[in-house]
Amino acid sequence: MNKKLSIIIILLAVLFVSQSCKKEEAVKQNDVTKHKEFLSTSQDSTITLIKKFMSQLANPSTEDQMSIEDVVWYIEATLNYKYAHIEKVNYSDYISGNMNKKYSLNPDGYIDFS
Amino acid sequence: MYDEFENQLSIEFAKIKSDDKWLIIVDIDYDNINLSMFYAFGDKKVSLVKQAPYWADWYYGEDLGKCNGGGIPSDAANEIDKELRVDFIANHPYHPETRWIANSVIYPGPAIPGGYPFQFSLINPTDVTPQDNKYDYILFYCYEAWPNYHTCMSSDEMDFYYNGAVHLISTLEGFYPNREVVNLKLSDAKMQGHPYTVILHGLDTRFGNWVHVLNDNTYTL
Repeated sequence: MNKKLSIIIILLAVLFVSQSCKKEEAVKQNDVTKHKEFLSTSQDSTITLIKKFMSQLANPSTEDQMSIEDVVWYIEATLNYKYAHIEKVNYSDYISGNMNKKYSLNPDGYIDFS
Repeated sequence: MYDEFENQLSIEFAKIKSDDKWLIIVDIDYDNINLSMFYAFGDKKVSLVKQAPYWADWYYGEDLGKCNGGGIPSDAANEIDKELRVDFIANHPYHPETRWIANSVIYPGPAIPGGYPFQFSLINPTDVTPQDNKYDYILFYCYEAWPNYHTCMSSDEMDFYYNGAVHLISTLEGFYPNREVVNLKLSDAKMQGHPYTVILHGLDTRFGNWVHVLNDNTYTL
């Protein structure tokens, strides 16, 4: 009788531990999901605009034209979106530089962006 | 046009001979003729530890180390810069699956004692004796033709010029109420003069909007 009771207790304990692990895993998963949901809603239209621009780059049209202000915003935002980490400030070396590129406006005052 | 900037960025990134490097920020701007791209990369991770107000005495720059030996390859400019990074940039929540980026970046121009566009605002308003190389400006500035020319900054000076930089950044923040600091660099410079030399610190600060994005590592430079 005591043996049977011991086995039942051990089985219950195993069941309890395994349920706890599953629950912990579920909580972790839930955290990540929540975090992702938060990000996808809080980034509002910025990321949508960048992604739209990226798809425009992938499928260029000869009719694409933009104001100089938009060109500046989109190129900057897209390069940062794809590659940058402004939060990583724990560097020992900081390497910076500049690049210039001449631009010209079409008769309507826009940049042909094809 | 986008591709040219991206390619250039990629070329510059490849020039850094390290496996421990990353892009910090891109800032695109324009004038009547040119589009210009500023970029900054970080290399070699270090841990950032708060020092203020307990500073050591450091040489002003050139990676000359501490005045009493050691500390090479760092200097006063680098140590103050690290402190400013902790204060103004390393304050956003970290999550392993995300990163932060900047957009709508604005650069007010370099803050250099005696230089445009901050030539007046960088003068220390509480300095009783101008042009004596003792706290004449809120950023470090030493001119060989004036008395007390020195290359070693005492711990008191470190604290004063750190607070000067904090004051300057906070003042600039007031000009851009909808933006935050997204990048900064305090660096040293030496202008070898004929016959007098100037050694100084300058501060570059960029303001913009922080955007939190998922770090899915889809793109690499």
